[in-house]
Order: sequence, then structure tokens, then C-alpha cells
Amino acid sequence: MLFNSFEFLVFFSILVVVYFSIAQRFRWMLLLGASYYFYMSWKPEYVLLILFTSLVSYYCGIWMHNAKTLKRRKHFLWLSLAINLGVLFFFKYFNFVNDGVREVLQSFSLHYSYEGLDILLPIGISFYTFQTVGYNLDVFYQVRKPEKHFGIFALFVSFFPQLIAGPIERSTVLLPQFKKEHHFNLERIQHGLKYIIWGLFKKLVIADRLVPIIGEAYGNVGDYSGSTLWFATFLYAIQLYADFSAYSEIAKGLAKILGYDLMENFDHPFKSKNITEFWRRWHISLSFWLRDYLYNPILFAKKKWGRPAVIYSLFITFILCGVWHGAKFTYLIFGLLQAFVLTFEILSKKWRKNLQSSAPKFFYNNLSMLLTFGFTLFSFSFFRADSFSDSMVLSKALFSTPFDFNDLFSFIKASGGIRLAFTLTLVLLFLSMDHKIYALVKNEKSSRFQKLLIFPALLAAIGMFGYFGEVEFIYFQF
Amino acid sequence: MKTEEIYAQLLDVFKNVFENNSIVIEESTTANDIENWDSMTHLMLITEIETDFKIEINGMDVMNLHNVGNLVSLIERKLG
Amino acid sequence: MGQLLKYLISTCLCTIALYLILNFGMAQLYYKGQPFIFITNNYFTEKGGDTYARFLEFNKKSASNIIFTGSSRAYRGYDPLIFDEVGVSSFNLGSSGQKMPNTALIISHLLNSENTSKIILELYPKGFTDDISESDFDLITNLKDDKLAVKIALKTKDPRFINTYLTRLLFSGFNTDLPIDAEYVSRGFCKSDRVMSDETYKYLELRFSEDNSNNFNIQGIRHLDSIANHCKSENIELILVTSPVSDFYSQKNHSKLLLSIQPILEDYNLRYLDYSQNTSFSTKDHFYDASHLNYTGVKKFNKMLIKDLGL
Repeated sequence: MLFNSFEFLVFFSILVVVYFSIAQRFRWMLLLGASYYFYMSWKPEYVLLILFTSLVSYYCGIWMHNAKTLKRRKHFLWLSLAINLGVLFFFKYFNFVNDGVREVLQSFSLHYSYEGLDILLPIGISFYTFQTVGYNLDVFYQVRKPEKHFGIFALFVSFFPQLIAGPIERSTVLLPQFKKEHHFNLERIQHGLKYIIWGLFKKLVIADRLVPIIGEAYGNVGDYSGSTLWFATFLYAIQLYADFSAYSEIAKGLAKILGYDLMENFDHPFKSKNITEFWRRWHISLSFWLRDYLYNPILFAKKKWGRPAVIYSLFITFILCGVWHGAKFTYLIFGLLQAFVLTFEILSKKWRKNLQSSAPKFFYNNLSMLLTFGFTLFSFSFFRADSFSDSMVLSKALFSTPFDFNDLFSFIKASGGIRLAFTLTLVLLFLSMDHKIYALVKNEKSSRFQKLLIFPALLAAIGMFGYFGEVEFIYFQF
Repeated sequence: MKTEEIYAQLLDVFKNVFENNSIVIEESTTANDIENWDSMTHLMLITEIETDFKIEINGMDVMNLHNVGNLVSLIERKLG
Repeated sequence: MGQLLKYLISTCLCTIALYLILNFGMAQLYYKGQPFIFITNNYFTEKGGDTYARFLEFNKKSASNIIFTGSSRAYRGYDPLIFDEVGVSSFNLGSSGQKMPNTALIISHLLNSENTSKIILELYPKGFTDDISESDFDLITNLKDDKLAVKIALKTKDPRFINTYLTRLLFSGFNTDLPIDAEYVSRGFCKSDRVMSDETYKYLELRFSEDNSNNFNIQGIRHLDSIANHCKSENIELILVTSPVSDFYSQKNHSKLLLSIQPILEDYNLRYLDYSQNTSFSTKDHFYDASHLNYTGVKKFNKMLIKDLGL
């Protein structure tokens, strides 16, 4: 069930009514049942997988805690990691590795006939696996005690608002919320609805409208010049941001209506003045997860190396960040690009600070934002490219061809002409108003003006300008 | 070693690592409160503390550090 | 709970009010002579064109011997003027991309024993899906009959039709200065003097492949059944025809089509005239694009059809 579907509206409305009508002690059962039902609406069999993952994490957590020696604790940690990450690895990367094996053997003229498995990636697996791995690491590092109640733990793993595409929550923050009683609160519900309306607007009026235009460019990379491809990549950045942040905000709104608080996943990322800052503003739940569970542990394990430990840790973390998105060479390049630039930023910190104090503030800040945004676009081109060869064609075009207005014009004509111009107008309006409207959304209180004008206006705009019909959220494929 | 002595010695380490003589630390101070705090300085801070207090801090210890108060408790534990 | 309901209702009312104001406002704006509202989304068709002209001209009360129905292959492939020559009166009710579900609605709503004795239905594989397409929005916007437009709108079961129907209301009223298709002649027929250039042929050759052809979807069969049923009860002879095809027609889909209509042909004892295998039509001479006959081809085909129908 997609969030922007009629079935989901019915499902969620019924759930809210029942949720607030039953006693607190039954609510976890209702939510767990609803979450499993929600997950099964994609493919029923995969609910067994999430149940399996939950059982493994649950028991390993308890055994870890009861273990008498550090060595035994480590065994249980490795057991849970091996199984859960193994499952993730299998579904995501088996075919990729299999193809790689075939290619290597073929280069030695050995015939390898195994074609690989025809498996569909279970939706949300990258997200809920990381969430449970985080839990096991929290128990291991004695940041928290293991959860004794399996039902509530299973709910933590499968909570439907954030199951499919995050935010990836910390067990210390989310698990306790399931044990508290949340009363019916009109203001909180109105607050949640604000998140949902804004998310739907971003998804239906901004992100979905851009899909065919970007598809036209990225499906025919050899046909267009650099300036057109920069333009298309710019639109892709907007689409990715609108789509993904929309999902996170709808998730936040849904959870809030029921009484739960999910973390912010995006914080105006394109305002970043450097890539270090970018990763504190983009897909925050993932980057913070990587920082706390991968980057810092590796860094401190190698602290004897001193400075090189930072670079080593950065590379491992961002290579993994890249390939977490999928088994494609282009994702690896994406990760490497981040690692290189972040390394540069760390090594050049003093130099940049001197530059900042000597240059005029306006100039320095805006140039930083522009360069950061430009780099972001370039790395996004790898994210979106259909294949490695496409990404190479793209990169060459982006940096070698001069500005070609005719080409850009024919691209605009090919992707809808005047309709595209209208879409762009909507995009520009969105970019200029995003910050202000989101500030209104985050505010717990809503004025009458907001309730009777602004949010109904967003809904009316969705009705008029939204692209309906099922278009899946981009991050579902992860 | 008494808590106040730890704070004093720790303050010297902070001043040294962050190259800032006007730094002030108290129990609730976090990374956000200190200018120039990043992975590099975080790493330097931990290794300096190890050298200065002659203790060993490992990955597990670092996971639970959220503010200076946690850091001081950690040092106290390691010292005896 | 009561307060929540009050809040939800007031939000809905405000939303509807703003939505109507927005629609009304945008309908007043014009860009290069066309209402601005049509460029705002993909479920709008500009009012006018051949669909509008055709259904405006059609009179349910006057009788014709034959009505042609189907897609653009119908309204570009059957010329009432040629049938006039043998004393047969006709009208062409095809429309661009028209699919079985809508053809069934149009036939049951507009055609009966009083106004026609024969219906020719132009069959093509793409017409057999239930998917929503521009054709639905075209019909909702341009049909003269309000009730029929509503039926088609409701059948789509898609919230977008609300927008389309709203623009229909906003632009309603007899309006003769709407842009009409330059190729529209009369009685529903559109005549094309275009010919296929070598460039076009080469381009089509590159793009066409049997493997890439849209998969034929059998969902439309039940609508064909209801059309046959309606014709039977109204004593109308239903004749199925597939007009000549170009080199870029999927024979695979055609075989699937033949297979799926067999039961209906037998049940209702229908005639099916299949010109798709007729080799006397050449793509370069008789077509102007991958699916449509040019006027030379139309003349040749209609004369052939008249002979085969025994008219």
C-alpha cells in the first residue's frame, strides 16, 4: 500500500479509530498486526523474513546480555550480525557477486553457467535490518538493556510508518515510546496532519511531475549536451529531495497522530556550505547511524594510526553508504566521491578557515553553497544513471560541452514544452517557500489562518496539480 | 584522584587539542558547545586523554560518551 | 472525537472552496489563445478538436444505415462520402485512442434500433485494455452528451476525472469558435493528404520490434461481449473489421486478438472482415504513419469494403 493511495487512507483511518478506542495494553498487538498487514500488502511471504530477523535480534540481544564473558558476548553479536546482514547481503548482492564471479572466470576462459537467482528484493529490508543491527550493537555496547517483550520488539522492527523507507530509528529512542500510553490529542493530530499534507504536496505536485522529464534525459544520455544534462540533474536533485523528504515527513505525521515521535530525516540540505554539513542535513538517520555504528568504532579501533585513521574510517563508511543503496557500480562511485571530498575538507580545514576570515561573508557563504550544490549534483548523476557506461558518458558531457541553448530548448520541447514550463514554475515556487512552510509544519501549534487557508490550499493544489496514479517512492527500491 | 583535579587536568587537554585557551568545560558540555569539534579533534582528544591520564579507552567506552560529565566518570573508572 | 470531526469537515470544505476558486481562476487565464488551465496537468485535453466537432454534429434522432466506431483508425479509415456514392448513409463515431470500455458506453448510450441498422467496429489490439488514457479525458471534455460524459468519468474510477469534468463544466456552453481539427471534413471523418516519407519509414523501422510491441491485454473482451449483446437486443447488425495494417503492426498481437474474439464471433454469429493480411496495401503508398491509411489508402479500402459487404 502506498501512502498516497485510497486503500491506505481507509486502512489508516480505521486503525486510528480502533487504536484510540482500545486499552493501552492491547495497542501493541493492534499496531503489530497492522504493521504486518501493511508489509504483507507488497508480498505476503516476506513477512516471514521480517519475523525471522526480529527473532534473531531478540534472542541474540538477550543471550548477549546474559553472557558471562566479553568473548561470549561478542559471539552472540557476531551471530546476529552474520545472520541479519547475511540475509541483507544475500538479497541485495547475491546476483551482483554471482555475475562478478562469472566475469572473472570468463576472463580465464572458464565457463560458468549459473545464471543467478530470480529474487525480488524485499521492500524495506535495508532499513529494518539497519534498525535491528543498531539495536544489537546498542545492547552489546551496554547502551541499553535488551527488550524482554517480544511483541513490542517485533513492533519496533516493523512499525509501518518507517518500515519501508525510514527514518532509521534508535532503539533507545523508539522502543520506550511503545510502552507509554498516548492519549487522543486533537492538537497533536492536527500537527501530524500538517506533516502528511506537506509530504503529499511535495510528492504529488513536485517530485512525481518531474519523473518523466528526468527520464527523458537520463534515458538518452548520449543525445543531449552538457548544459541540458546539468539541468536534468538539477531537476533530479529536486525530485530526489522532494520525494524522499516527503516520505519521511508523511511517516512522521502518521506516527505523530498515533502519539509517536520519529526523527527529522532532512534539514534543508541544499543550504549546506560543505559536504560535511550536507551529511548532517541529508538522510540524517542513515548518516548518523553510520557515524555511530560504523565510523566511530572503526576510528577508535585504529586510533593508533592518528590522522590516517580518520581517512581510513571515512572511506570505509562512505563506500558502505554508497553500496547500501544497491549492488551497482555507480553507487560505489557515489560513495567514493563523498569520501574523497570529505577527506579533502578535513585536510583543508585550516586553509578554508583562513579563507573564510579574509573573504567577505556574503561572497564566501554563497560560493560555498554553490560549490557544494554543484558537487552534490555531480554525485547525484551517478546515483541516477541507468548504468556505468551511461554515467561515464554523462560525466564526459557534463564537463566538456559548452553551453548549448538550442539543445536545452529541444529538450524542453521533447519533455512537454509549455507543460514543463509550468512544472518548473511550481518547482521554483516550492524552492522559495520550502523553508517557511516547513517552519509552519514543525510548529506544534497552528493558527486559524494555517488551518483554514494554508493547508487546505496545499490540498487544493494537490487536487489540481498533483500527478496521481501509482508511482512508487524512489527509496522503496532500497 | 579527586573529581576537581580530573576536571582541571582535562581542561588543559581540551585547551591543547582545540588550541583555545578560553575554553570552559562543565558536566553538561557536549560536542556542539565546543568550536572546532570534529572527528579529527575527537580522536585527538581521546588519544591525548589516554596519554595524559595513562589510561586506555576503547571503542566500547566511546559509545556511551555524550557529554563531558560522561567523560569524567569514564576517566574516574579507568583510574581506579 | 467530535472536535476532530469538526476540524476534518471544515478542512474539507475549505479545501473544496479553494479548489473551485483555483480552477475557476485558472480557467479565466489564457495563454496564446488557449485556456491556461490545460497546461497544468496531464489529464486535461483542450476542448475542441475532432472529437468535439464529431459529437456535436452527431444527432441521435436522425438515422444512418451504418455507424463506424473505434479508434483513430475508424475516424480516419472510413469516409461517409464514399459510402454516399452507393446510397448508404453513415456516420463516424471513432475517437483518438478509444478503447473497448468507452466504445461500449458510447454504443449503448447513443445507438439503437431507431437510428442505425449496422455498426462497424474497427478492431485493434491496443483497444482491449482497461487502462486510463488520454482518450478518457478527451471524451469527458468533448462529448456533447453530459450524461454520457459522466458515465465515462465514473467508469475511470480515478480521482483525476473530477478535474477533467470540472473543466468540462467551466467551458460548457455552445462555443463555435473552438479550434477544430484542420483535417475534419464532416460526419466524423478526418481526411489526411499526408504521405509517408522515406525518413519516417526508416525511423519507424528502427523503433519497431515484435518483441517490444505492447502486450495485448484481453480485458476488453467482456466489453465486446456487451456491445454484441446490445446490438442483438436492438436488432443492429454488428460487423467487426480490422482495416489494412502497415509493416509496423504486431502480428503476434493480432493472432492473440483473433484467438480471443473467436468465442464471441461464434456466440453471436458475427462477421469479421480481416484486412490485416491483405497484401495489396503497401505501407509506403497507402499509409501516412504506422497505423493510419492516407486518403489514397482510404479510397481503396472503402471501395473494397463496400464490395465485401455487398452494399
